[in-house]
Amino acid sequence: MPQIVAYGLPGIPLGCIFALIAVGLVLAYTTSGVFNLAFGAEAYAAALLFYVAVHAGWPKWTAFVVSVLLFGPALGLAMDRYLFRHIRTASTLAKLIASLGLLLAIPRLTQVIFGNAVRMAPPSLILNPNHIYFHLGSYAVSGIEISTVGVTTVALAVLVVLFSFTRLGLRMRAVVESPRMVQLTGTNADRVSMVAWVISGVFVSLAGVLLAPLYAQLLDYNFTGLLVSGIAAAAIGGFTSLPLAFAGGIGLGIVQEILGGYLPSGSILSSGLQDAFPFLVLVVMLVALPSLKREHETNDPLASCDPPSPPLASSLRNQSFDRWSRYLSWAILLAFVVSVTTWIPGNWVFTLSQGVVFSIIFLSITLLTGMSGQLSLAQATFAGVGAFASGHLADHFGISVIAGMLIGGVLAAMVGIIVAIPTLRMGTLALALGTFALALLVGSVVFPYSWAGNGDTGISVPRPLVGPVSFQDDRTFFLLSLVVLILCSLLILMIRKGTVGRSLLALRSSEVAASTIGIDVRRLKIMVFALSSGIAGIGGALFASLQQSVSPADFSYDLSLLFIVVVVTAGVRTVEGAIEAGIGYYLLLQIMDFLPARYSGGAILPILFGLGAISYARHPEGLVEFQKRIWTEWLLRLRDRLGGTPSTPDSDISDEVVVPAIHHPPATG
Amino acid sequence: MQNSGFSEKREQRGWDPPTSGAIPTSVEEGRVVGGRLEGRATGEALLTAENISKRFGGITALSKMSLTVKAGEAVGVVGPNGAGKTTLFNCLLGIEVPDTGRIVFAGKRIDNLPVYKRARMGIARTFQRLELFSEMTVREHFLLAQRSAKGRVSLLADLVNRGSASRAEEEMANHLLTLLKLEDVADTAVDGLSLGHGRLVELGRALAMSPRLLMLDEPSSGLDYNETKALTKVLEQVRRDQGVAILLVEHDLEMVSEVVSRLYVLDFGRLIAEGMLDDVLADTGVRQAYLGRTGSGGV
Repeated sequence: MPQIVAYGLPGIPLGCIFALIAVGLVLAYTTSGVFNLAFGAEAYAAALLFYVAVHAGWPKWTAFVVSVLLFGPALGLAMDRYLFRHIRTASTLAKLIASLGLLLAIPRLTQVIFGNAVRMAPPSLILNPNHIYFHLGSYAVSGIEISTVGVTTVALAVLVVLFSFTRLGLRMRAVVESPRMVQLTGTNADRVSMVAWVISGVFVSLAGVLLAPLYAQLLDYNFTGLLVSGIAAAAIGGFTSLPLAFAGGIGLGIVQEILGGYLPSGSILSSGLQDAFPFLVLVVMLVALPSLKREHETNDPLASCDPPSPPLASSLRNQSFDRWSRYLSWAILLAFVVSVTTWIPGNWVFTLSQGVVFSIIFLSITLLTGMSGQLSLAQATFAGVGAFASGHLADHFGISVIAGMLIGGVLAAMVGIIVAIPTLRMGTLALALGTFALALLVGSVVFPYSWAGNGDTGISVPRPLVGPVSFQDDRTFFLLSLVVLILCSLLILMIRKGTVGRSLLALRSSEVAASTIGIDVRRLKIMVFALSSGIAGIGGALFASLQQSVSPADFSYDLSLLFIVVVVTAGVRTVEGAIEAGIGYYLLLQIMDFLPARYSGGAILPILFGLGAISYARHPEGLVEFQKRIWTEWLLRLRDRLGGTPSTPDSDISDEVVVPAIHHPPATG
Repeated sequence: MQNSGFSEKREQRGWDPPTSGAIPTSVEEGRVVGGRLEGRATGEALLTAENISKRFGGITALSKMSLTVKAGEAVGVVGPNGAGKTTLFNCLLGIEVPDTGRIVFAGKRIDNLPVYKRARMGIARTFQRLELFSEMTVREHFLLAQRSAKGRVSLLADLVNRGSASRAEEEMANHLLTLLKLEDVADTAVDGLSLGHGRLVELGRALAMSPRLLMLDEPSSGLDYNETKALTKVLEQVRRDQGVAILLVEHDLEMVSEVVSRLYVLDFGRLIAEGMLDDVLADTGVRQAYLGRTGSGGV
């Protein structure tokens, strides 16, 4: 048997699994316009369910039916029915953020329900994983491979039959184009998309159950890798072609194994790159193929029948209350600072410093996502660049930490520019997926190097020393990070109020129209990306100095996802949202520290914030911001009632349709 | 000339177009006063597009289309749906790249320039489907357009003057608000505006750029009779006061006849007629393709 075939054969079972998840992704995307990242979590949950059932003594086939044929479709249907169907007309950004929320929340939910014991040696579906049944050349085929390939073939056959002998495929394509039109022809659009979600759910859960035994331990990291590999396979099919996505998945698995065979073993490059190969493929495809760059734009002729979206609650702000709340904020800040420097105990000061530092990183998200409407799932990676740079600069070149922080920020900004340039023509989805893959790629191939993050050992970073002032003490360091936060906040505010901020708003609404009024869209995008990465880098460097030691694990991809979800819940459009997110999250984490690990902050908070992210479509200003408006209005009404004056009718906030403004009295102030 | 109904309206406007029915090859005498009229004295064209062709896969959207717009002139482009009018606009502005042809604006070749550079040279447009900036007020649209048209969008500038508008910019914004009768909604976010107001905001945003050429893509689409009349009046006023050249794509022939002096007719991406308004409308080929066989002259 030729060497390349010997290398490639083991890739077929893995490729089958990629193919299954790719099919699930493409089906959901082409039917409901949602690129459902949460399928990665669903795969994990199904695998977990299967594992738990088998270990509880259930026969394998029962466990299979429950986890793949019951749980799979049930979760798929639930995601459609309770979430995605209601945000069908929302922006791609909103839909992505919603799926991101689920991607984070679901694994933590399973942790809460089933506990987080270490799960070794997950069972394979049929046949014995340890028994070698036959050999193909030098390749030993065990139960795992047979069950994987066999089950995948059956699933594929069912799908082919379904599409060949029913009008399902045609109806599915019609539904995504215009659900209303489809209904006018007598087809139940909801039922068609239901079928698609059921099939997707089954395929994705199947992929999860088949993947688990390939690894020694059941870890959700592996399923994120599966997700991104599935995305890469789907990309081979242009996100729209099922056969190509399937073939792409198999091909990806085979090529990945061939690559592993030829790479020198033992190096970081080989171990990291082989696993990260699909991520690399995805990034390259997104950059190179124009067809992937733009979302599948539907021109639904009946789209204008949708009621206009409700106004941002923040646009209904009351001027005088704004002034008062600003004074109050400054007063609270002052009290806060005084407290921290005096009576608050040491470990809380450390926590608050963490909160402040992460607020700085979150400001980068406020700029990029809140103001510019672009979703980058690699902000933690940029923070890592800043952190590792400042660490090495202090270590090898004796550069002061403060200067190292600034240089680290500049370096991160430069990396941002390098990332931004090929992504200029990309739509929201492509950029999000590209940065997601990049985060995984950099995390497994670049950061482990000693000149970067130095793998598990990490690097050490001292506290700054400015003249006689040492920031070794946590309280003084807190003040330093607060100063940096205030400076970054001022920068963002100035951008917001200035022409650049208005241009970003314009860019977000209509790139075409922005360029027709003379805005250099490319330059603007690059500038914003660079600034955002730079700020994240500065935050990362500060974090490194706070902790005094950092490693790649501190900047892994799932932190990037968590950042987005936390900021979006607090309010991605405002500086205060970023600060509330940062300080709030770390305070809550500390408060919940006393809970048992299963229910700890690390588990519960992502669930809460994940659910918060899900509501982004209805409340793009953030749930917290929305609640603040409600309380503001309530307080105003209370004040008016106590003062005897009737409250003005248009101070009610609700989600009702906005009557065209020309019927309202002109806005005051 | 047949009584097309349009000539009556022309008399009301109080000026006489040249009566020659031939496709103009010689210089047309300019008439509009005021404003910046590049090349007016010599009668040179402000915008010249030659041999523009564009295919999308198997569909030929435009085939060897040429047109000229002189400074201060109002030119119309009409044709059935799918004739290639919006594609033409997109090619002129750089949103699409034509397969062949060249485009010259104010003496400079602009084919290779990106959209924003052409915009800064003085070409402004409105869109068939409104492309307003969500969450920005009407006034902010006008202020931003003034800045961006001059290329004054920079971080450093914001840090220095803190992004607030200068007096001249505020004055121009106010002038536009008054001209377009948008004072009442000046500080409302455009998301809540009706379509009629939205079209006026787009027009105002284009005018805020102080353009030399205004390209309007079906501006009366979705407007009622009164709104269309108001729009026509504004266009005429703007052309008179600022000498802006207008390139108008429209289906509403009554509006077209009140605004333009010359007309191009497209069908299936090809130019099937061009010339003075009345002559083109009376042409049998045009009537067959677009107006209908009987072609009573009314809409």
